[in-house]
Amino acid sequence: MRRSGSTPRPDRRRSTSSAVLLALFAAFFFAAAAWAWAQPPAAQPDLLPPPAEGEGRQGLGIEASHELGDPLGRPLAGAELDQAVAGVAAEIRCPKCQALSIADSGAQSAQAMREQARSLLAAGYTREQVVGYFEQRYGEFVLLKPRARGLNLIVFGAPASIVLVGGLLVVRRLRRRRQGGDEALEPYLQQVEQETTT
Amino acid sequence: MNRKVLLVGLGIAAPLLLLLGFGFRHDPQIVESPLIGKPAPNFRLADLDGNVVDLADLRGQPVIINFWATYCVPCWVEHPLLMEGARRWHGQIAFLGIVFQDDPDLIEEFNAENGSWGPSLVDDGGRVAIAYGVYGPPETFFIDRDGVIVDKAIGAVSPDQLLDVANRLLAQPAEATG
Repeated sequence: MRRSGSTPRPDRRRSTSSAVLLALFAAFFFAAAAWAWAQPPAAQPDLLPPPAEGEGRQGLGIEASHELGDPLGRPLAGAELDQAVAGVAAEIRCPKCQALSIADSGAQSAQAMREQARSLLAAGYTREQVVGYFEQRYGEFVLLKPRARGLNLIVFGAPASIVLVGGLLVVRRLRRRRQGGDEALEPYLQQVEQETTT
Repeated sequence: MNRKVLLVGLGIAAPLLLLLGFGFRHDPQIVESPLIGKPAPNFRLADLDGNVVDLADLRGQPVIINFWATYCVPCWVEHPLLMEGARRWHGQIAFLGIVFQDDPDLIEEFNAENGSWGPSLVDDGGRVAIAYGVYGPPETFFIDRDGVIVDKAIGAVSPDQLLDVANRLLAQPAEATG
């Protein structure tokens, strides 16, 4: 049997389910944002032990190695060192000209940071240790590619969520359009049904 | 249909507005230092006359480190305040200036004209500025008696901030230091 006149119209049902879908999406988004907001920043590896008595007194300046601990890699030299420096420099934001990496910037700060990276890599510190050193000094802002944690997750997750929800809406729309053809026949089908039963 | 459009619009706009609102709460020029609450990186630098200052030697005394340069206008602005601070807390708080990418001759000239509130230490190669995560001058680091960075000022330090942090530094009992 065909549905009676008291049954809710299909377009209203679809509209309601779309609204529910959107509400769920918005709720998910809000919940994700609130959760990320509430998260404490992830603990960073302890690269800053208090300097031991008498350390760093040999010459002028500062010894980054005292704060980085032991090198976890092998000392690099030549073309390998150049390549490693370029790799690290491409990941680090220039503190002076914030839209550029220290590889692309000609600022004095960027040059000093490249030199710092070079001396650490030459001493056997790994790429992760060197990038971590800069992050510990300048904060996560110095990383050109933010880490996928906390509020940053929104940046990573939003495009996929938008594509997913958009895809669902398109599928729903197409389905409705396909079903719309059947609905146009509804009065005639009812008429046929009435005439054949009487 | 209008209700649906409204819902879709709200569903998209509300999270974006929330994110924008969150973004507007922060000045993009101000990046919080991850070094607050951490031990101050130790350094050993010479001033313009060749006198060597080792930060470790100042343990037990509060220290204010200011990265500055003569080309930096906010550095001129805060100069009289630092002069007054160094006078007021002479012998109680050590004031150290670290020259940030500037010509020592210009520093000498500036100090001769305007006076000096502390040694102007030369950071060849900028390694100390990197260790302190300095984005640009002036930046001021406040270090307590234990050698821990307790606060940082980005841009010209204000009288209120200087007074507030200096009082906090001096309130830390000397005997509590380790």
